[in-house]
Amino acid sequence: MSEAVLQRKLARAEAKVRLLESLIEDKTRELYLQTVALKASNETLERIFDAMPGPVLVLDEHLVVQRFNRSALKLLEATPLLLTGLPATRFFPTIEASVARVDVEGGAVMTEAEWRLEGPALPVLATLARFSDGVERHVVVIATDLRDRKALELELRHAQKLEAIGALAAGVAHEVNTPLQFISDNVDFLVEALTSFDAFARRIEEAAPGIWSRVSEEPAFEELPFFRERIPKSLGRVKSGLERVTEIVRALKDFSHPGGEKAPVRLAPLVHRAVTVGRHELKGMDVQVEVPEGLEAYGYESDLNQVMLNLLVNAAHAIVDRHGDATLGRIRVFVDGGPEQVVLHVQDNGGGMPPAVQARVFEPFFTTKPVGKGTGQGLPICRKLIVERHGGRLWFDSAPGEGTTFHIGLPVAAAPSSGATHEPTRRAAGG
Amino acid sequence: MKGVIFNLFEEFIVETFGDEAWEKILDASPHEAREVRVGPLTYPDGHLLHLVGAACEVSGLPPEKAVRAFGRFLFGGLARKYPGIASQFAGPREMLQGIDSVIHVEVNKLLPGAETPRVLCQEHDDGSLTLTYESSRKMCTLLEGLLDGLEAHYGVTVERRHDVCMHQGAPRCELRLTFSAARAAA
Repeated sequence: MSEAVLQRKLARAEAKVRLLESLIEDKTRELYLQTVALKASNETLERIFDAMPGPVLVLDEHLVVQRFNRSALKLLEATPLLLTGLPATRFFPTIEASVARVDVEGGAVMTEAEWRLEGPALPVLATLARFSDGVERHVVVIATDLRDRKALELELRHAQKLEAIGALAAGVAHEVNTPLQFISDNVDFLVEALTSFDAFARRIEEAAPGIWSRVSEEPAFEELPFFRERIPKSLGRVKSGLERVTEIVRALKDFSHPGGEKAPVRLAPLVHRAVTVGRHELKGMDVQVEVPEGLEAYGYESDLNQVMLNLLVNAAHAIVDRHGDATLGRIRVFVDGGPEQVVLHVQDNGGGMPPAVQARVFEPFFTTKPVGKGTGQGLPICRKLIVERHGGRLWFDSAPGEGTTFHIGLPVAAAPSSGATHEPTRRAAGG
Repeated sequence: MKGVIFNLFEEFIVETFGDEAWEKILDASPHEAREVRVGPLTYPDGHLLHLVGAACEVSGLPPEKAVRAFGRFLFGGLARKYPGIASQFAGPREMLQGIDSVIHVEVNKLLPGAETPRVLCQEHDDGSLTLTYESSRKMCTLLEGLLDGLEAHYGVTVERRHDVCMHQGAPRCELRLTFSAARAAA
């Protein structure tokens, strides 16, 4: 090879080295930028994974937890240390059957399951799918917490039951009303007739003095003086009983009247109605209603009926729990408020609530009552009705050992009229 | 065309005709075809055609013969350069069947942007294969040379009938290949 050729080859080789160096530099820079971009992308994906509102878990081939997001930790009330490396069968007992379905059916499989780690059982809708990262096969599990849905279903069933009972009560009230009316009319007739007979007897006695005594001495009529004295009283009691039954029937009819539109609601009749319907629970207690006759709030009457009855019944239970004797119970329903809001207060002298109970009293399904006695739905529903349906407020003050006052804040529909009475109405509920 | 092909062409000329011949080829080529090239970069196809044309002038070989000879050399050169790819195949038949699905995939990993041709295989009951070649470059002669290299690499004889050809107006070339028993490595 000539020197000239050698030099040309050398020059080309040097140029090639320079080119390669520059190429390496370009590629190194490119690699660095791509690594940075990849890292940023990975971090973004990690953050998205972690911020996903639904719980997500990634399991290995043996169904051992490898990765999870914050929602999964929250749902299972677990620490990262506890969850990492934990066999999923520990909290998802039926997972093996679900994964078998994924393997047979392919794609994603949805299944309702009960998860339980250390806390209470959780109703969950789990969606499972397989994926491979090129090295190993995994199972990804996306969970949907069904607690709210189950609670809503229960609430709906409860509401439907109440509605059915309401409809039944309205029907019964309507049916009872007609015979009640003619019984009442006939009692009025008997009272009138008896009054007339009594006047007739007095005229006979005036015309023939001593005749009443003589006739009464005969054995067949010896009870006449007693009848004459007691029948008017007996009919009076019948009439009083009938009036009470009529009042209860009317209250039941009004109470179970369907909700209809939002409208001004007269609060005094509403409270009296609730006292009447809840008479059985309030029996023997001193229930004082201090609500001006003309005072109105703006809302759904049936909702407010339900809330008031619920608060009164809760108050009655608190009283019985504390005193054991209903006659020591005092319940006071009174109002205050401003031009835009009326506040109804339901005060009792029951046992009050300890702080731990106060903190949870509006939680769905929380109850201090024995199994079968309370659903823990009453106050959450009351709050929902007042806050969500009326834009109002429901809160309470409670002193353990002294009693509780619930406050219902509602928008005002109309101020009390000038002639409205504000005299307390004291009623002994029951008797 | 990737720089690696240019560089193997230079190796082919130097090994076959000597360093002086390569210098003559460069001198006979247009200025732009003389540039220094590195394997992973892409250069215009026309540069290679200039170099091949100049090589034919310098060597006195007809273009077809020169390209086919280069194809044979190219197979060996690529097999040496990328031993990991060639070693994946049990034999020539498997290698031909894996051109598109394995070799070109790997080529694109090593040399991003490589414009690889489409090469497909169809097996026949009699054991023969039909190799379909489709490329805008129409370099079926280079393919024949590569098949020569394949024969040498695996020590087999591959009889071929190239009845359908892009140079005769067909949309793609079809080569019917019949493999004979192994022979002593060349």
